[in-house]
Amino acid sequence: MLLEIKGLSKEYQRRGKAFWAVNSVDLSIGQGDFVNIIGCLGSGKSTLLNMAAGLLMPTSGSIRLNGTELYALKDKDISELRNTRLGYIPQGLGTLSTLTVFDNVRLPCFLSRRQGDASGRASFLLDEVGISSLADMLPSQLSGGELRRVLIARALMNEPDILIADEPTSDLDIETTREIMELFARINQNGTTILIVTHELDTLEFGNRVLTMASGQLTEGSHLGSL
Amino acid sequence: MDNKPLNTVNIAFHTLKRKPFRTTGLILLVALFAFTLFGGTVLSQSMENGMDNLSKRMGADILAVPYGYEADIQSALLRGEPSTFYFDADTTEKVESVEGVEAVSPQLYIATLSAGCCSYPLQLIGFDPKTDFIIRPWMSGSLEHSLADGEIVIGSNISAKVGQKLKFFDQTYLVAARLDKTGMGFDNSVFMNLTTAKQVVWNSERIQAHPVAENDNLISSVIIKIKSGYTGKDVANNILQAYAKEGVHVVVAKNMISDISGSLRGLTTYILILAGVLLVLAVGVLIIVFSVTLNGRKREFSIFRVLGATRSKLVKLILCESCLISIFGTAAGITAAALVVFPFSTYISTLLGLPYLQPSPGVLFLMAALSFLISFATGPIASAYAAVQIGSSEIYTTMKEGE
Amino acid sequence: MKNRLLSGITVAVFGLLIALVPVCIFPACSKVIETAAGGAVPMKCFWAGQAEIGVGLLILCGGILLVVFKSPLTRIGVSLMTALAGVLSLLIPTLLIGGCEMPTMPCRMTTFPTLYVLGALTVIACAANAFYLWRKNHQSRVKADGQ
Repeated sequence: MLLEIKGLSKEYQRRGKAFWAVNSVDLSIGQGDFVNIIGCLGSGKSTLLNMAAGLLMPTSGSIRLNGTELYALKDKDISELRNTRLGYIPQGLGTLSTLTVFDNVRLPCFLSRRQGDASGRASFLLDEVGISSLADMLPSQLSGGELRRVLIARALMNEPDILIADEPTSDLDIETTREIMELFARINQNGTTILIVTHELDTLEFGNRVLTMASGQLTEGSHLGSL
Repeated sequence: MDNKPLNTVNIAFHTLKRKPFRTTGLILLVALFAFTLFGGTVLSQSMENGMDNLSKRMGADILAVPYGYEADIQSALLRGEPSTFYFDADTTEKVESVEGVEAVSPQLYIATLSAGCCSYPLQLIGFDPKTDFIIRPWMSGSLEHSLADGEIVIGSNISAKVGQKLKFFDQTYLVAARLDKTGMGFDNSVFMNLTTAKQVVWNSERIQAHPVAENDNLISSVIIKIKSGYTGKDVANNILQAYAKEGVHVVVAKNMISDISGSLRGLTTYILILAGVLLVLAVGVLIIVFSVTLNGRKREFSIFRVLGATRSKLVKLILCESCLISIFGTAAGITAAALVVFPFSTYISTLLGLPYLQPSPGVLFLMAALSFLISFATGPIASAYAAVQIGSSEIYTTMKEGE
Repeated sequence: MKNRLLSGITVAVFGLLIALVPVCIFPACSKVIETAAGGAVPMKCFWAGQAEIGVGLLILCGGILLVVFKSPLTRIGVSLMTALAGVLSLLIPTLLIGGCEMPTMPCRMTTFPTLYVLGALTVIACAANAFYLWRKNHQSRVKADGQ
């Protein structure tokens, strides 16, 4: 198994009362999977995803990526893991506004001091996601759909094992949503495992597995309609 | 496409460049501080230097002048303002006989109207080379012989070389020696023996009537050295008791110097306080501005963390930005201060009216280096707290807060 | 566009200041010397000041031209000539005309130092602008060649 989550919980304090955003979740994702997690706002799906991406410390439970226990690592090691093994696409606008599109994409390579042709790979990826003509632009000059493509290219920069995306199609029109999802499907076909959370049903046709998150609990299959 | 590799400095540089207003504001703040720090130190050091020089080499303990001209001799000594006041030459002998007096030497002050190319008033001072003890210590290089008739010694601000001839009232005089820079009135004066001085006066008679031309037996002041065991105050009182009736008044050098250093201390303290207040202000404002702007950029920093930057990398990035701001600000401030303090040093010294002697280039360089270091440190110090705070907060939380 | 306005206005302001220094900011020595014939002639620092008015106006025009012209190559040329005018403004009080002998005279104390500072700033600003334009022009040409 590539990603193995067991008994994962996250507790927040709200007005002195305990509130479980994620409650004993188990999830296993294999190499090459394309997993969609669907859920309403506040169902805890973002919290789950961020814990899986090594960005939020869980209250209890374990997350293993390729057999490595994520939260047993030191900051330096978990940072390196985020940099090299995980490709994370944050919700909303996640580009750095002061760097060009091109620099945004090749930034992960600089952070890990990886050897190799960073500029070449960045150009290749920009071409892959179809925005190579925008390389010298600043993020503020781009549309929402183009910005998502930048984020996807950046997440792929260090050839991660798994691509994790938090609502990658929110705020996009139907046409652009479709294009972005097709891009994910193509990336998945090239062998990259993908985990996406979303609240939009029309993206579910892409991917080979759907799970539903409700009140901090995760169940197999799409039950959003019944909620 | 820019293929230059990305590194911490590069990213920080891009960030600064793309936020010109924020960056310029921060740089100006650091520059203001560096300007005050460097300009203030040069100013106060120059004044202290001038003061030191004055008290170290001022050979006279008491100056005897005609009654009512105590202020004039001070402005003549400190600023070289041409002044003319006279009393009888026999005052020299009279004063010499007073109890507690060791040595005396007369001086004759003459103001010229024009000399050389440009017309400017110049203080000519006639002195007695045989008895003199205050002008000789300033002479750069020793004068082999006693100053002969027709020979002159010039202050450091007068542009002529030893061996050259200068013209006053249609007569030429040979420059026999130059004085070191004194930072006071001597810099703008020309010295000669009493006979030569009187000759100059006779030559000037053609243009303007002069009291010395009519009465050969006049001098302007008597410089007095006191015997050890006597205080300047006592001897001054003795002189006043004996000759005040005849219009002789005294200026005690020590009092004069302590008066000057008193007002100097006031100025230096003021500059120090100003620099201190600005330091606190600059660091304080920078801390506030940095923590506000850095907190406003939480999402940006969390993205770096998401992409795999370690805590220390993030802190480094933030510190690098503030270091760049500090470097540019400090360089701008020190350059601006240098452009004011050095070209206008004469103007500043005239405005201050105090002995003003710039330190040597080596000392100046040291002061610049020290100011640079202190000013440079403000940026990183001011941003360190915010940087560490942002670096240690949880990524998901900061990302959500920054939205 | 932004750079064009910024560089042009900066240089124009320096030029204006140079021209105004001898007129009203820090006038040179006002006294006259009497000639043998009995006439009164201004001292040479006065003439240095007059020359600086001319050079200052020239630099002012250079600044205006930097705003007016759009072509980078023309602006490089104007920048270089204005930088040289700045050098001239430094040479007039030092070598070409000069001023009074005494450092405490108004011309040596205030007029000339102000001119030195302004002249040096003009030279630096114009040279930096020329260098910046040259590099930008060079880069855009390389890019055009590459495509």
